[in-house]
Amino acid sequence: MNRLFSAEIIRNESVDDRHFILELSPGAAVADTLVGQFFMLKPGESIDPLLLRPFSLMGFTVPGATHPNGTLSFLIRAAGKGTNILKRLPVGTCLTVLGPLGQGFPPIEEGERLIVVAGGIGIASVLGLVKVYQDVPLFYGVRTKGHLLLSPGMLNAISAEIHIASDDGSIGTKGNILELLEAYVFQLRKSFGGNIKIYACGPHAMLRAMAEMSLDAETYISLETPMACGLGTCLGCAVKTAGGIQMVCKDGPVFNIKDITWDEA
Amino acid sequence: MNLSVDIGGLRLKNPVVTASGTFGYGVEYAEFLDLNQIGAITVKGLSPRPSKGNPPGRIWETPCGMLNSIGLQNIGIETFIREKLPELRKYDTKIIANFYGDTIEEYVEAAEALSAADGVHALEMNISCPNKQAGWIAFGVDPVLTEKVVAATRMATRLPLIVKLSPNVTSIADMAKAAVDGGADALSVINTITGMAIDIETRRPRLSNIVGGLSGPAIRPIAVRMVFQAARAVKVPIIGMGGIMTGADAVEFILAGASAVAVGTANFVNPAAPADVLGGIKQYMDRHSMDDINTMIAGVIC
Repeated sequence: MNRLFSAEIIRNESVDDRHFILELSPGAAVADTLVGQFFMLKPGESIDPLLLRPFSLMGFTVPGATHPNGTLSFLIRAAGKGTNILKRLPVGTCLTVLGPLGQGFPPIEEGERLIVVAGGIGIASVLGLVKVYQDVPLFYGVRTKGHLLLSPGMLNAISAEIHIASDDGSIGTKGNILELLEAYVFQLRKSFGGNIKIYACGPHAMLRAMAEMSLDAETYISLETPMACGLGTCLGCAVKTAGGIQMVCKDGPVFNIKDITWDEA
Repeated sequence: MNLSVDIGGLRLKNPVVTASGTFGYGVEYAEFLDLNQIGAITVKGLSPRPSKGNPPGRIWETPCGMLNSIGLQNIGIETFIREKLPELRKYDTKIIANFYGDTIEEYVEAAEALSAADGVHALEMNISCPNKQAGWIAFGVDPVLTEKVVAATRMATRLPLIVKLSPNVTSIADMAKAAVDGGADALSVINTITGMAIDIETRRPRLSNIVGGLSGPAIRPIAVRMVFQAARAVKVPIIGMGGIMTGADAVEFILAGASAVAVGTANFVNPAAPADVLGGIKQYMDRHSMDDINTMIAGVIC
């Protein structure tokens, strides 16, 4: 299964003025991908920007008559040069794709309970978990209602238990999503003696705050860093861990939150 | 078509090699291209003892290029020989071990250890990493020290010794002469160019090391110029490198005076880049009815 392949854009749809969903039809079979693994996309054929961009896989469809190798979809924030080019590429454009790459979220074992936590664009990395595992509660924090990247209707369609918090209270509970999470875990712990797992992705500040909370749960997070090769050879996407320097692209992007060394900010 | 070239006693089946630090320890790329097709694999810079490199904030993309300050993170020579070299020996290609030391004694120690290993065909001596402290950088920018460290290392190995030069100098010709006077069999030209980028919102440097090495197509004209000047200054073969993405780019270096070319940052953009560059060189030779790559070397008309 070749991890370097070409894929055709079959959908490039704005979610709001900054975010868009890119759906690709790969030209070759794609290796099985765990939620949390990522792909690197080349924004056009130019040497500026030079490097491929890493994006977690948000969703996929299985091979069918129209798309013999299935489809891959990504939720992307237009943040810089590369993502702004991707945002403008028309349907029908072929992109160079590398992946799947990295380590995904560990599979949930029988008898374990999963809670999914997302902050902002972090929803892209963890949404697949809510689809793979049935009846999983999703905690989703945004700044304001307009920043909700998936409509409440769409969210309700994939999970029966959605908890939303916004900084300004314009949707869901006013305040920090982590407060809701903390209360939820506290309540769950009263009735459930087994292993609780929290899988999360969101802004650095949110993940760091999670690391400082004493949640009675095994927590895995997906990290984001600038990246060049995606294969663990350039050694650029370093992260400090209890076991020394590790590479986000190869050892991660999913890490046990306990292993991450958070620098003094 | 003859593609074989000689690099100071190292016979390559074709002139395309990988640049140190951009191809891991080689085997990581076996799924993307046939490693037997490459002239030589230059492995990530090795030191006598493992090195953990610089803290995060190690890379930053810039127009047509990237800055890096990895800081020579590596597994150490002993682990390389024990764990990586047996895998590399399975391929029909030459292995160039890039190495460095913090002192002249460590350069000698590294060269001796690598020369004793089965499966290392040549040594590439890094005296030009921009991410080391000021005292170390002198090895690559002070011609007197360059000659001294190369001469000491020369005594420690019978393998072809390639010295990788720093572009962060006033006269690349003088540095090339100093390395050859010290006993270099060949030169690699160039290493990365020292650069810097700043986040204007936080006013902090993009790299934890503050400065880093610039690579990629952004530096290519500088690299071509330095290969041209070095080739005119010395008689030893040169491996040209600096932003080679395609066969056409490689041909430019060969015409400037390189006997071989190294593909570096391109590996991050296209993991099959060395094979694509080789294909492009062959197409050029076909188009110009050349049957021997050696006739192209230093063929620029000026």
